Amino acid sequence: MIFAIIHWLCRLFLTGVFLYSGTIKIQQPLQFAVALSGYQLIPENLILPIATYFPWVEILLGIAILIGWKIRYFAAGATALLLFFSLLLTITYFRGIEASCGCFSFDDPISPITILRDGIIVIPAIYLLLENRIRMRLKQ
Amino acid sequence: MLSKLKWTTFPILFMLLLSMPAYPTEPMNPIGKILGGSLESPVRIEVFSNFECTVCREYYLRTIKRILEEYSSVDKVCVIYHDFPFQYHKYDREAARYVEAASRISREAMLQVFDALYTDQANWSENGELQKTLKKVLSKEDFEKIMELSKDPEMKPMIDAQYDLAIKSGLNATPTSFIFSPGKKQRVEGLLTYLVLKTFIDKIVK
Repeated sequence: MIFAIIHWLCRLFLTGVFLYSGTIKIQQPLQFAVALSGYQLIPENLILPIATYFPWVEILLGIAILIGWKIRYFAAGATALLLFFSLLLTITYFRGIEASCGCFSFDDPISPITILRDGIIVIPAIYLLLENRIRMRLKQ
Repeated sequence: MLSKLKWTTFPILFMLLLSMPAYPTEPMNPIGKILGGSLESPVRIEVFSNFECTVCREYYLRTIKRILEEYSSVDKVCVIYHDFPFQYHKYDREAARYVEAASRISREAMLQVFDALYTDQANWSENGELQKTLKKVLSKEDFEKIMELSKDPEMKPMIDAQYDLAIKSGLNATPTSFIFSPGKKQRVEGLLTYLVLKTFIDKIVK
């Protein structure tokens, strides 16, 4: 029972995060492009295509995790994406660049708090990915 | 239960997506200065900028100027500038007065003033010698006309109206751009690079 509750809490949390984050970016692709430019890591000619299509990937992940189809694969995708963004934020922060995170709003400068927040968000994704192993370990 | 959820989730989420708040699509009152293009251009960029803000300088010189040359000259993009003076910028209102005065002579004179103010920003924002900056680029006749026109008492309410529009639009930073394309309005705070803006415009006009 407790595993089922944790499982659903993780799914609902990740769905909320990805749908919220994706929807904001879909409405403002140019503002998201400004945020991506601020990282000074992405080639300029790729910025607008990423800003336009990446939010749809987030929406797709959110819906897939909610539906639960091939959930381990999508959990793996979510984990990879969130770890990638945590890494991107950490690199940008330690390079001393004052950029907006662009994660859940566009007036959110990169700071240890935004890095920590992204680190926390990845936990439910990792749980869903490793759920079977965790259950087996705990049952043993 | 789960199989029902699978098929009902899609339309519910789709409806949720559609119902998310979007920016109003009605056009903003185009008070301000038209730097290039016409109001009938398929893309309209309204910039709230400040002559003393360094990011605004970058934005104008590296992005907007190139958009003016490439797209506004063929009436594909209309660029409108509004001044948004901050209290801690000592000389911005004076700069805005000269722009307003130059706009009464011709668009070319206004663009010359724009170019000069942004190019020489580092100097005049330190020493306040705006007139020296303008003298370098304007003809004697235009310079004198601009100085005379800038004394017009109607200048202040015109600059105030642009400031009020910025406040009414909920702005708190410069540069902020409103980008109007058919059926869509986007608000963008910060520096949009030329290549990003060009890619966006090309999708609409080419």
